Amino acid sequence: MNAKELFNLHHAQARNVIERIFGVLKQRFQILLLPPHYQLDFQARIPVALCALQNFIQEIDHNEGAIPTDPYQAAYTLFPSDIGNNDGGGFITEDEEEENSEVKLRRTHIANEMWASYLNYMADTGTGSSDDESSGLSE
Amino acid sequence: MTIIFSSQPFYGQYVRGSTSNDPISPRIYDNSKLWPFFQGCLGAIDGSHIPLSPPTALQSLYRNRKGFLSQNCLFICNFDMFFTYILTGWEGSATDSRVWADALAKGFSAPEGFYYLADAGFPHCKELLIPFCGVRYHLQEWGAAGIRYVFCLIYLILYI
Repeated sequence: MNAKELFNLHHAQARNVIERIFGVLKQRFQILLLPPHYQLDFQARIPVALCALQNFIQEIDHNEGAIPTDPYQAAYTLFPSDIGNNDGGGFITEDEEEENSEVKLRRTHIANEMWASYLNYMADTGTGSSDDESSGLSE
Repeated sequence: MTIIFSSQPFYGQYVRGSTSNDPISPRIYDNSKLWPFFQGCLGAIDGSHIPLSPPTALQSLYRNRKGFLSQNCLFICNFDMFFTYILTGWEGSATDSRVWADALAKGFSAPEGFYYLADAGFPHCKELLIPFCGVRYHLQEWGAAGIRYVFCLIYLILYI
């Protein structure tokens, strides 16, 4: 476990919203599942119209888009700490990035902040020192 | 109806681009794992293949990597599950990054200092935040969902 993995995990968790909205859209408007036989430019307008309609429904009826609570959201699940047993405490160091463009630095900055907060959390709850529960999946 | 819904004023009224003044979604704000790290984040972006029936002459262009005829549509939504940007009509053979380049060329932009979450199929640029490549997800934290993620990982490895 290091800063990059933690960042990717939380990134995926936050990005989940778009996968869910696709699910809702395709479930609600099944015309999106099969090709309709219209002119090409008209076919290209169908998803646009349905997205606008979806926003309309969402705005009128708030219950439609009720977001189920995420059971993994409340706290970090306790897992053993293989924290920082490799690359310098798990933080991303400057020389690890092959190209320090501004965009990549922003990402590195966010990942390191997340990692610091995670280490704090682990230190506070005293789970940082437990070990030997590691699952085979992580290897 | 399609024409009415996809043109002004209906479209403009219900599909609004994100601005820097929008309140931050509780989905980010109330989640201690995401706040304050993703405070500059306005939403997520992804491409989706929508089936299409093109004229025979154009079929090869519209056949996507999954094997069916489609258009590649680019969607951006915010964390409250509202669409904020849609770009449709690209051939199914076009990649997500190609469609994104076209969206930029058509004048799409994020407010200064803000960005959207994208997957690894998109290029690095100031409007997007891309995950690290070649790094595993931490499976343990997913708990029961872990096994499913192993399959996703295998799928991703095969697919990339």
